[in-house]
Amino acid sequence: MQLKSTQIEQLTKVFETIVNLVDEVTLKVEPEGISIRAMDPAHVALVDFEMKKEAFDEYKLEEPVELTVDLKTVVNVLKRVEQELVIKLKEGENVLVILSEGAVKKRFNIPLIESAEESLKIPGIEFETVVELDSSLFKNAIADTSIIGDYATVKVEGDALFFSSKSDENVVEIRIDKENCISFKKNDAKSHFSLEYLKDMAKVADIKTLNKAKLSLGNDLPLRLEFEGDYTRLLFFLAPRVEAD
Amino acid sequence: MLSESSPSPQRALELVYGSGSSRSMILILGECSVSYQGRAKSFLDFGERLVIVKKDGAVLVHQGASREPVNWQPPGTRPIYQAAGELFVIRAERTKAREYMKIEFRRIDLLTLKVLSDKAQLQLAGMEEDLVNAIVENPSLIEEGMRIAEKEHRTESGSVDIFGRDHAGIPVIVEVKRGNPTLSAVYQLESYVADFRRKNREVNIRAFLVAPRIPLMVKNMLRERGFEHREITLRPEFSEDNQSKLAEWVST
Repeated sequence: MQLKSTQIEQLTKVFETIVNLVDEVTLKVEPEGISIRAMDPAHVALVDFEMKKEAFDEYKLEEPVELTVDLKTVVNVLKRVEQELVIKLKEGENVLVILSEGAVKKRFNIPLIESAEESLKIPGIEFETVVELDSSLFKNAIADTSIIGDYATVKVEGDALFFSSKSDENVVEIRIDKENCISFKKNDAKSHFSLEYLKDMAKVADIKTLNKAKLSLGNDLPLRLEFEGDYTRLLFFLAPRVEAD
Repeated sequence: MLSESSPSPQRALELVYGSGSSRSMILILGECSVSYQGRAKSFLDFGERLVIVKKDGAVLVHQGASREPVNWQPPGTRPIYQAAGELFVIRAERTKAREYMKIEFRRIDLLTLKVLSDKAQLQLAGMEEDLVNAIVENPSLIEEGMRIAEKEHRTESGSVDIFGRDHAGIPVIVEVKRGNPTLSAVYQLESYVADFRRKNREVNIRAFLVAPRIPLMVKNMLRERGFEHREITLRPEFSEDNQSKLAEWVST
């Protein structure tokens, strides 16, 4: 197996988002591309990441492999990679080799971990309400709500998407009209979500190539949050909170 | 999971050093002797026991009866295994504390290795941190007039959760446990107090054990040594019950 890429920043930032949720992940390297599916320890959030082989400069794979790694270590290593990233497996050993092929050649050996993971399923929900918008709008709305409360109420009412939160006497409401969205499949819907998780997910907006966020919403249903870029997709599911309105 | 009956010392060595084994929990049932050298010296002659080696290096030797291990090493050791003739040897050394334990098996009945998946642990650990932070933010939870100076105060025996001073300026150490503390928590507090007295030549020091609930026997032991305790339960900021789990929407 040998993967090469010069788009190091995107991969590093995606992994940085995932490591906020979970420490250890199983990276699947298959003929179509690489993927990670993981759930946080509290079983409240799920992340599903896919990067097709076309996103890589080189993608050589003899047979599909599953690599379980300590994601924190991988993120720290990726941050030190310059110019060209090469990922391979050490011959005959359970070691992942990450090379940095710049003016200075760096080699990092990371041991693979025995996987204790069961296979995860994506919630099979049909959403009637789907809004696509610039991910920076989403990130700002989350930032605005998190200075006030612990959880955010996300709703679609009429022709607008609302984010709101409250604490004691303080209330904040953000309204994004459908004209300011990329697409708007409306159906009134409302659910509440923990801002702790939403803040981590909103950090994806920092990744320049993933600038479109697609929110799928229901009434007291999980939030489906999708970010798509060139040959890359990052998908989150976040279980709702049950709040007295 | 790997499990083998009656492996030879060489075979046992192959198994424990096999791939991915560093993350496994290792269970060895058999006849062994245990030598320990540290602050005390002890030798336990051959007998049938269960030895547990955890992925963080903690080693426990359990006899057929009694809740507590007859000997143990805390996390942080890097156990080394050897096959020496007819013996399978485990050496667990803590160089910093100059503690050394050697277990020699002259017969292994069962050797089992398994990587344990235990996500539940992570959340609970968070709660212990919360109790420590709550005390730091609100020292009056312990006593009026208390001032917290430091979290994770290092001593020779380990890290004290909280270090501060009371209203009279007398040094205070606080050890926080999230579950039910056992006698070992009292010994832990004892070592910290001894370390502090040795280092600062100050005899006057107050020691507290804090936990949501403290068994009567532990309270008695604390009192005997002149230590104090507080039973403190934290109510989480937002009720965990309000947050649903994704599993509700995943069909199995």
